[in-house]
Amino acid sequence: MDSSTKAKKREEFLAVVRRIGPLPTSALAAGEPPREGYLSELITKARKQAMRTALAAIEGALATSSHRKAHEGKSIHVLPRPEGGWEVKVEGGLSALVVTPTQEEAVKVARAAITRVLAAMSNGEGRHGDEIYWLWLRHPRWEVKVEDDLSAIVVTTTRQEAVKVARVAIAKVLAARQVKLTRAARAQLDECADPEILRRWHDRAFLAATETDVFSL
Amino acid sequence: MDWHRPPAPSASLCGVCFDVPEVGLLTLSIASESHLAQADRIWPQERRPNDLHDHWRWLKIMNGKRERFSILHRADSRVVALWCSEPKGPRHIESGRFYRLDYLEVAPRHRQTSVGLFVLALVACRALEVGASGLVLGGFPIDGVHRFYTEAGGVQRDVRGWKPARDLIPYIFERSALEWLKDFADGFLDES
Repeated sequence: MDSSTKAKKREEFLAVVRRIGPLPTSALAAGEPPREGYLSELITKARKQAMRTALAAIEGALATSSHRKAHEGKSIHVLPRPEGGWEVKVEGGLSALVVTPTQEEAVKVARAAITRVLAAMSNGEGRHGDEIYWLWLRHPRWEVKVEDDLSAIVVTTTRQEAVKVARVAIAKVLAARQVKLTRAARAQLDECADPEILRRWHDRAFLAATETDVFSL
Repeated sequence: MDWHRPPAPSASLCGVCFDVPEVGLLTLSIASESHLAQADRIWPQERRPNDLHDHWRWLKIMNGKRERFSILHRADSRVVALWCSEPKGPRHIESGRFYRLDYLEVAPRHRQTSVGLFVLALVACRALEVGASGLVLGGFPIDGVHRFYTEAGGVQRDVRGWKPARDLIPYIFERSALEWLKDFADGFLDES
């Protein structure tokens, strides 16, 4: 190898080294698994850090009044990204608030964001008293629904709107479970504005085999 | 612990000196008991507390390993990296014979230098020397490790016929990547 080729290789080598940057670990190849427990600790730590960053970003976005106003009454969506990963987005917003590697994390961020939105908008009329709203947030099977319906995490400004969301959620759960709704059942659902009944129907929707299992009072 | 030392492999680059940018003169050597003892004495203190390999002890890892190498500072014989491979030489994986890199560690104080890439270049030389047409290894699932291997020409993918240990990420280097890496080592040969 002549000296000019050597010089070029040297430059190329250093360019690669710069792109790599400092190594995160001195162990570059391993013939055994990482020590028991270490990996999960590392992942948990990274996820907590990611969650803190995500929430800080959302809080930052909500801190300005224009953003806050823009967020009022809008849904918060959890959507897959074409290039991979998941994003938490405000309905109609062009850019993602947060991008996460998994849907589960995106859902967690979205849920936390909704809680923060509510806290931030404590002067909103009836927001905290909206039973359905909190009912959905606290529902233990919320994730199941989100997996089937990506736009199901919703922030509403009124009780009326929350009732609408509840109806849509029930219909979506049933559709995902391939339980067909007759016109009569659909009408029954559309007419119901009682949060307690809606909550009961929603619970049943996860297990029902037929619409009768859901809508019998 | 009694250290079992099988016959050393013949490697044409052993004893050859390399002038590595940012590091200085380094030589490749068969890993001896004293090299491993030195690494076990110094490296554990220099590893980070959350390192996934902080329990590694090289005397134990290399015990009975034939294919074992150390990279030393020429000036003071300090060990700057160690690696070992399986003893039976390249194995048939997919369409060719692949050198399996079992363990590789650079001295923790060299995490921020070019030693990591240079060592990989020497591993590539060794793989080609023993007739391998590629290289496989398992790396820790850490961002920086992924960047290291992909920038160095490796590809992260499942390898037919070989699996890394649990929780490790498989990387594969094809012959062209090995030759590209080997050129780096050739370029640093110290001719003085």
